[in-house]
Amino acid sequence: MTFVTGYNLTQFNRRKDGSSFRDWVSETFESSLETSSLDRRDIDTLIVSSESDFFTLQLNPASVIADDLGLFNIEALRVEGGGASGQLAVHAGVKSILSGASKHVAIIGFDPSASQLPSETIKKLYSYSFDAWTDGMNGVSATALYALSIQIFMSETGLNEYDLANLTINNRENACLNPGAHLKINHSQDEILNSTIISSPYRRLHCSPLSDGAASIILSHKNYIPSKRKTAPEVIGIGSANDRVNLGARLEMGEFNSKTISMKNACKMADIKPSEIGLAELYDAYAGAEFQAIKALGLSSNFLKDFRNRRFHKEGEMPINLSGGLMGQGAPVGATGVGQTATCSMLLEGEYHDELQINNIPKYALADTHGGIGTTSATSILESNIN
Amino acid sequence: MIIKQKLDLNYTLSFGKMTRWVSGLLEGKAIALKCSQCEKSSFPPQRICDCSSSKNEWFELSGKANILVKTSGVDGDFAIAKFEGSDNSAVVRLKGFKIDEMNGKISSCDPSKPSLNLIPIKSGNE
Repeated sequence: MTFVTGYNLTQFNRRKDGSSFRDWVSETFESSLETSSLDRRDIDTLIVSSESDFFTLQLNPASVIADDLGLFNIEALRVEGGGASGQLAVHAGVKSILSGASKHVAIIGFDPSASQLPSETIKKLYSYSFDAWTDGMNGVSATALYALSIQIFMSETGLNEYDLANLTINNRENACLNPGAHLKINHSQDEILNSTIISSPYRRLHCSPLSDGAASIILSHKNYIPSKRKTAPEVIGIGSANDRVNLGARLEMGEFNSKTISMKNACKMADIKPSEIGLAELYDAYAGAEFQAIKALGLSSNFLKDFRNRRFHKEGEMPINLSGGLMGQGAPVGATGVGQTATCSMLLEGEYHDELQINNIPKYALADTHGGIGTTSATSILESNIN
Repeated sequence: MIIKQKLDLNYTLSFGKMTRWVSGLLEGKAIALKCSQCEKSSFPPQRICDCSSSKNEWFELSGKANILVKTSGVDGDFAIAKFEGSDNSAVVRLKGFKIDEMNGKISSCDPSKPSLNLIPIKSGNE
């Protein structure tokens, strides 16, 4: 019913060229529009995602972006759910199409997470994205919260520091082949294991960077797909779920249980099983978070064995984070979930970067995003339409 | 072109129902909520219990806590700790803990920054 007729990601990096987030949004939208072969006047809903007005210094960003893009007399709104903002915006677009309210929805995620504020300020603002009255006031960083959770996960699963290092190497190796990626760096295991400890066991090189950038998709109702876009992939399942915001209030503090529920809901809508997923873009804010996601989403019955056997590697049976993920491609927060869905769409249509496009295109792809420490999870399943 | 701009924000925060919890932190007291239906205790306090009940009462814990897991590094020292008498756990800031010390007690904090701080239990500290 809902097809991704347009998609694009701008370069993710730390901008030093004097451009603004409004330029990046225009760039990505025009490119998506061109891919879709639609006219801007065909868009009847605009949904933007950005994590914080503190980053952009712009309240009601949908209003100025609609104006910048020449979109008038349409529904224009913003969706926000922390790190999950972009994927929740995709879901809002799908729901708009499914309800019959829209024929074509433009979804644009963006954030100037790197260049507009000092990194220490961004870090402080991030600590208010957990419970501001408990974790925020305590001054606990996102890295520290993730570090506490992954230690429990490691003690329960046998995941070790070499696995964390190898995942970091994998994702950044993929990023080296992605022209739009922020961290195109080949690390050695020693470099990672000897980098500065931010919050044990997490070291500097286990963390995703703060990035600037934007990403967009255009969703179209099946009755209105442009004739040139017959191979556009379909969004066949969406699911979302939350967990207790305080880590200590959860029964299983090392698990991302909201993802399990989110995935179950998405699979039910798509009428498929997690084992049928052929590639995935997962929310690897930290190296360990990708392992926690793989397990919670049910993508493997033995994630550690599969990882060590390179099943999730770019040449593996089920590649994960071919883009480089947040750790390699980068993390302009509001753009992340939209970018994941755009990446899955390109891969399913055989239109991804030459050195990362897989030849044996699978039937199903998964885009999974979360806010907090797996507090707000949002999952989308896409189906290829090329055969 | 680049323009520098500074934004100063002076918030006046009120905590409503959670005032008891916040004022407890300032005094170095662990004030928790007990569910009137299933009697589970929560610290940090939960407005709605896992059993779905919204009926609860405030009470004071001993303030002693057992550390379940710690993290340290350039971002500071933090832990997940379970307070005596509470059914859930809390993320706490650690102050003055050695690597092998796993038991602590709540301590008072800066009145302008209510936070959940834990100091090690040593003789004279108990």
